[in-house]
Amino acid sequence: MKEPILTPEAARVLNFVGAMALLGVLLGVYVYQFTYREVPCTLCLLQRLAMIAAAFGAVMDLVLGPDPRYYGLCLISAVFGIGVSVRQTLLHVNPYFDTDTGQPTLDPTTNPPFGHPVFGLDLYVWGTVIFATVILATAVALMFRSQFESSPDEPEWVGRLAAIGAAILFFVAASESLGVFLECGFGDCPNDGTWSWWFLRAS
Amino acid sequence: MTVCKFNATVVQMHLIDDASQLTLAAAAVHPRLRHVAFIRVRRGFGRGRDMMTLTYALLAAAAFFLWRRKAEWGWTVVLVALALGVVIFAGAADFSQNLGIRL
Repeated sequence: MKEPILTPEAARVLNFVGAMALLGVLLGVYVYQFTYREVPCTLCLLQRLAMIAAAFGAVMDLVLGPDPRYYGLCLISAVFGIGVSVRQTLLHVNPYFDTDTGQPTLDPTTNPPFGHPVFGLDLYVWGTVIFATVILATAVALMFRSQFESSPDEPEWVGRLAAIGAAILFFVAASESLGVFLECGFGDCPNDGTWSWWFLRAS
Repeated sequence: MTVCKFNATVVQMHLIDDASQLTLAAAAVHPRLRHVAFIRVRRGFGRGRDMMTLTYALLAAAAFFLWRRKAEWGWTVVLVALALGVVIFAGAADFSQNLGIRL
């Protein structure tokens, strides 16, 4: 009998690695957010949303077993995320263009990039790279049919790995939700580097 | 008198920023708060960005039930959150601009 190239257990481990990579990026962004005291913009929040949703799909594969629906969730999230990140990249692609007036300018500080760059690239450019990688990795993962065959005897360590992955996903999603609540409240996100709540604005 | 009215409006607008949904809910039951809700609506209620907290709350709730209950329906909730994200994106992005480049 031919051995499967990708067993369900191996697929779960790969999904764990993928989810942790995405959640690691989100936790790494916190370092920049709190070091430079940068309040995320609306487009930044939407990219984080897409990243959490893509990680959610991977964690579902990890917890419940590989399923094309969960891979589809990763793909939809990444397509949405890449749309938002490309939009933000295009907004800042030309520093000699004033997006407020819609006119060219000789002052390169008129349209500065948003936030501090990481390894020379702005965060939204990294977002484009990451979402493109998610799309490619998910498309490749979907090619291995053997991972979708059910395995009756699931090793114990897979269950523990799934619990760890799901717990990390929840804590990242909950902390992001708290941050969004503090920034936006129940109203418009300020989008100008300030907080929505008066007691945070005062500081 | 005019200054007092202006200050009162500014205070109202800050209050709305902090608790817009509560204000709208109160306006539904208290006639004197209706004009406050009117300002809120004119400031952009319905442009979509109001739903950011709700969208993230949906994600967090789905993640919690996936962690504690292994809820299989979580992916549909995440799809709803993504749909809200699309609405927010369409409301926040000004596509009348030419994206900063000459097309």
